[in-house]
This record gives sequence, structure tokens and C-alpha cells, in this order.
Amino acid sequence: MTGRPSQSWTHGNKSLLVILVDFSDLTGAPINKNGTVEITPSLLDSVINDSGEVRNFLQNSSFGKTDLVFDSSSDVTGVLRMPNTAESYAAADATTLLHTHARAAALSAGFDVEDYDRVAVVFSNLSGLSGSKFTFGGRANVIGSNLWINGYFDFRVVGHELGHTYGLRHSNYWQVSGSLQHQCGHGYSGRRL
Amino acid sequence: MSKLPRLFILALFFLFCAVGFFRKQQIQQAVAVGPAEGVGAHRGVKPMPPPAREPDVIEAPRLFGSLSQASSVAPVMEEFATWIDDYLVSAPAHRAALLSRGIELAKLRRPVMLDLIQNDPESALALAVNRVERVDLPASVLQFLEQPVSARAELAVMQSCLHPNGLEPEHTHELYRATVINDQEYRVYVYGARLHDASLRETSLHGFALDQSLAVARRA
Repeated sequence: MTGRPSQSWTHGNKSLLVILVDFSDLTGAPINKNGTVEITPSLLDSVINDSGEVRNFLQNSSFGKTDLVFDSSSDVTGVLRMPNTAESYAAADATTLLHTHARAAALSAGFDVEDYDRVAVVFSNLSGLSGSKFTFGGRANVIGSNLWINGYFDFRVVGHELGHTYGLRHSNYWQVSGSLQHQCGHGYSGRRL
Repeated sequence: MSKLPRLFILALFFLFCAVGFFRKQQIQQAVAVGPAEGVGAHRGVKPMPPPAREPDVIEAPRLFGSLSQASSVAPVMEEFATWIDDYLVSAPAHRAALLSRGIELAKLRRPVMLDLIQNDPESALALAVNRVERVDLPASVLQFLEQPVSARAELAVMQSCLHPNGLEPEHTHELYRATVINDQEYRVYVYGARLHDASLRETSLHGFALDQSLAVARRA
């Protein structure tokens, strides 16, 4: 259990930087949803800024207390090559290392990474690689600036992960301790566990 | 009646009284203590449980390598600590004879320490081989031990989410922590006040790591 975030962390405008990455063993722009559509600045813009999408969702669900600031012409990097292979990151479940490498690459590319409130690293779906532990759709810091999108840049994944960065955790979850050791309740996905 | 038989009868009377008194005392003591093991069981008398002992409260923070402050100690941990004591006080000429046993114990201790780091980081730190002891230990033993870690680094508090394809990652519901030190990612295990920390871009991390698992001491 983490503590409560400060009001300044959850209120007001939050700038978002998106770092697109590829790997020596998985080259090119990230592909969305295992299909053929590349994740481009224009796709990012529509998922975040179109009416009814992520930005509107955050505005509405916070009753106007927070807003997402994202300009697809200045807040997206080009596709940056990571120093390790996709397979090595995925097999070691090294998401934090991947984010560290992505931030360094973005800094080298001229982005003031530390000036952004939220930093998303976006890559093709790595769950199918041999021995991959990247079996998440998205991952995020809880009360922190980092999020990861594993090949699914859409409203539900991006909106959900941004929620974690504000300090929200999965709802309606109860793990019984002691001799029972069962997981009970409803997961955040709405299905009974 | 002559004087002698009268005294004899009086003495007998006092003797019976005394025996009766001591017998009563014995019965009262037996009831207070409860029946001895095996005694009274056939009569349906349940032995009294020993009085509950108040748990020891450790107020002071535990120190790295302070074996006695760990909450419970697996035998192999104690054996290895004893081996270190023996090794360090032995003359260099005698140390070679102790080496193979030290390597064997270090290997046996390794999974126990890993489990402690992941599930009881506070005890793991108390049982870790401290820096002073490490100086005189041979590399052939050190290679199996936890490594000391001190760094300023990110402490990321993380939550993973279901993959849209239906895959479920580890840690879907519970938070976990991670850090990167010298280009190496570690899963971080904390206790105390650090359990309430949010993600920190940079913080002091001190502890011991085994493989990719790192037990971190609480904040000062």
C-alpha cells in the first residue's frame, strides 16, 4: 500500500511525452494490436485528443480537476533504438531498465524528459517472444510518471495506465491472508477471480 | 492406665494428623500444576497449556548481519554463521581445510536467503554476511553469497495490467517494486515505512541482492 499522492500530483495540467522504441531484433515503428497499423504521431493524437478519447476521459472523470497536455507534433519522439534486444528485455521482465534506456535515448534526441509529468514508452507487442514475461497490456508506476504500452495503444489501455500514475489501483480486489490464501472478489476487468 | 501407653497413643494421633496434612498439601499442588504427562489423560483431564509468552518487541532497527536479531533462523544459516566464525579465527594454514565445507554451506544457504529477501527482507538483511566479514572470506565462497548494494537510484512502484489478448502477467493485483542499478534491473523488496513510498525518481537504496532480488533497508 502506498500513501496518498499530493494534490499537485493529481490536479492541474499534466504534460505527456511518448517515446516510440524499437530493437535490433524487432525493427521499425511499433505496430498496434498485432496488426499492420503503425503507431504514428497521428494515431497517438487521435487516441489521446479526439473527442471522447483519453483526454476527455480524464477531464470528465476528474470533474475538470486535471487535464492531459499532448501535442503530437512536439511530444512524440522518433522511433529510438534500444541498446538491448527485445527478447532480452522481455525474458528478464526488465521494464524499468527499458524505461531507463528509453529516457536516455530521448534525452540524447533533444527531449527534456524530466520536464514532462508523464512519460510513456511505446513498443510493439512483445508477449509472443520466446520466454517473454512482457505478458501485460500496459504497466505503470503507481504515483509515478512512467508507463509502458505493450503494442496496444488504445483508449482502454492508455486511459487505464494513466490512472495508475495518478495513484489509482485495481479496484474491488481482496486477497485473504492467513490459512485461506485464496484470491477473492472481482478483478478490475470485471470478472470474478 | 500407665503413663507410657498414654504417651504412645498421643504420639500415634499426632502422626496421623501430620500424614493427613501433608497428603492434602500434595493434592492441592497437583491440581494447581496439572497432571504430569500421560497422567490424567485416561480420565479425560486435559493438560493445562503453558501460559502464553508475550512476544519480544524489537524497538531498535535491525542491523545488517546481526544474526541474533532475525525473527527466525534456518539451521543452515546458523551453521554458515558458525563456519564464518571458525574460518575467521583460524590460522591461514588451517583455512584450506575448512573451505570445502564453507562452499557446501554457502550453496545450501543460497535458496534460503533468496526466499528471505523476497518474503522477509528485514530478516534477510539481519542475516546477510556483512561487509567486514566479507573482506576475509575467499572468492570461492563469496560467489554464492548475497552482494551488498548501495546506490542512489529510482524506486519504481509498479502495477501490471491484463493483456488484451487475455494473458495475465505476474503482479496483476499486488504492487511490486523495481530499480535499475548499474544497468541491472532488480525486483526490490521492502518493509516498514518504505511500504508506503510512492514511486521515487531517485532515492538512497541500501541492502543486499541475490540474483535479481534486492532487499532494501528501511529509510533512516
